[in-house]
Amino acid sequence: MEFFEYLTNNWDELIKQLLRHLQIIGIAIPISVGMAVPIGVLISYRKSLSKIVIGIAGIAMTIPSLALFGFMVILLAPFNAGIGIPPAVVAIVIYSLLPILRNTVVAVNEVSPGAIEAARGMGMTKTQILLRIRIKMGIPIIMAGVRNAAVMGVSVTTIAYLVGAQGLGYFLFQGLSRSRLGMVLVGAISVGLLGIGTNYGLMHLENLLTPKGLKIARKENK
Amino acid sequence: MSIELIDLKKTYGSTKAVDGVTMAFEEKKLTILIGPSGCGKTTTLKMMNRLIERTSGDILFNGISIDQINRIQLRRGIGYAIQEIGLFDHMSVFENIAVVPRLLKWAERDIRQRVVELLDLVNLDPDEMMKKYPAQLSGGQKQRIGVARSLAANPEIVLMDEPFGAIDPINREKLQDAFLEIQQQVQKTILFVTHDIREAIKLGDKIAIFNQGKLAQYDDTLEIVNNPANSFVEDLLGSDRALKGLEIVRVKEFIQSGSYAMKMEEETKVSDGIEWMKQNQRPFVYLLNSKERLVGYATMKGLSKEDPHDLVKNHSKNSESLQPFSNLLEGVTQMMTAGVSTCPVVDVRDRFLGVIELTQIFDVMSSYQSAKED
Repeated sequence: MEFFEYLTNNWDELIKQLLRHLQIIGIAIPISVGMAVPIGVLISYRKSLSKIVIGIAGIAMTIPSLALFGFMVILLAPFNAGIGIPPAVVAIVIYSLLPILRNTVVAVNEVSPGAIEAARGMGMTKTQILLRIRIKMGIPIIMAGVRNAAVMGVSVTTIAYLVGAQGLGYFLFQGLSRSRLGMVLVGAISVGLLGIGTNYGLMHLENLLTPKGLKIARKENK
Repeated sequence: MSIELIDLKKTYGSTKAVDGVTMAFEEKKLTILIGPSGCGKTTTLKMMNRLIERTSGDILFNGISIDQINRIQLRRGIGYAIQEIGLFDHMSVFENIAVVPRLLKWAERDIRQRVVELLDLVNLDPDEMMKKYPAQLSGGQKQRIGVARSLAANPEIVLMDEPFGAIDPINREKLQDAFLEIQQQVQKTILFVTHDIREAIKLGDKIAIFNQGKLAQYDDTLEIVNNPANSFVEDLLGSDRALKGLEIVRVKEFIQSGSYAMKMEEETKVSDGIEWMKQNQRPFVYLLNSKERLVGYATMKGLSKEDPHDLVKNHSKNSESLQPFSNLLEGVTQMMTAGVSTCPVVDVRDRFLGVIELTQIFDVMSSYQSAKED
């Protein structure tokens, strides 16, 4: 009951915090994709290098998010950006690099050797093979990494409330400290739904971006 | 375009993969490169489009060293087909075949026309095929598309690395037959790697036999079968050389065109069939439809038991058939298996061309035998 009461009285607050939440993810994920996909492509040609880079990204991911926000606050403070959206965006970028990076490397290397040999033998340049064959065929795998990263971003952003970034974390943390169950529930449910929605939306995008021939291939293989 | 290899070598560390090969390929002919695995045949092939860089020696195209030719331009000018086919799953059949023409920036209308032409050539229906994706094709269809793709930009030279290696034996023979018909039409200089001596004898105008990186023998196919240069070549050919000889000879040279088949109309009856056989003094007749395509056969014995007013097409039995580019060994195998002494020959569209008789094949075999005894 308390839940509905809180919800009806704070509808505008929910919208505001939801938009803020989306804003943080909406800034962070494109930056992350813009960094991780090119880096992934560059390192994919060298096995040893990709092992090292993925290793580092993997370590970055194991840092607890609270600790990472702590670092961000200290590191970004000299730039007058220790509080608010900047530390949240930086943290999410760091977290989401790994899944996108790893999937890009896998995607680019996963293409069958026969297809690559045929492409080389027909006179495609390295760039053409990358853009027209490797990346096109790898879209489903790369997008799965993006999806993974974005869903994780939804939950990490919740914690970013603690560094003054606002967002749906507001309801959870404020609700807990005020012992208001309805408020906590609003936070928990909205974050949960946003995670599911993000996943679903990106699955839809993945489906739009995947070339038709690959979808048919996937269906035939099942 | 002439291709010459001059003292071509490729070494990996201390291993000599290709060890001083010198040879000239004949234009517009199909040359087979064959030998056991690790003999250097594939390495030699891949050095010709610089997928593998040679260690020393030279490759000349029309007398020009391969080093003088831009690697990418070189590859776009040479067709390439491989065992794995390597079709691009995310591209339609049309786009797959159009890859090289698009790289060469052909006009889209010319590309379209060319793709239709090529699908026709490899005997696939262009309207039905163009929009399909590789995942929707059978193995044999994929391989045909692979061959079409290698011919797309109309290259003078085509390199093929065991293109039919992954196909089951029955479909492989069909593909080989179809491929020979294609080559007869397009007349490319084809360099074809295989490890299957039967395929080599069936397809090759000339055969180059490789052993441990060196050329063991290079000559016309018939010459190789009749006069192996050394014991290595003899072993490769195997002990049944008389039978192998049959593989060089194509069915089309023995087609009998006399009266063997009857064209059926809508109303052709059993009695008409019996009448035809009496007139032509045959114990059987091949039945063709109105488009001259082989439907089956009927025998005098069989038809005389049936109602003479019934339609003859209702009593047609399935018949084995051969294609003009099948070889005599395939012919004899098929006739022996089916227990017949006559077999109809049809073209790729099943149109009846004539028949071939088992006795003719025996004549050819005995001529090989006596040649050997001489």
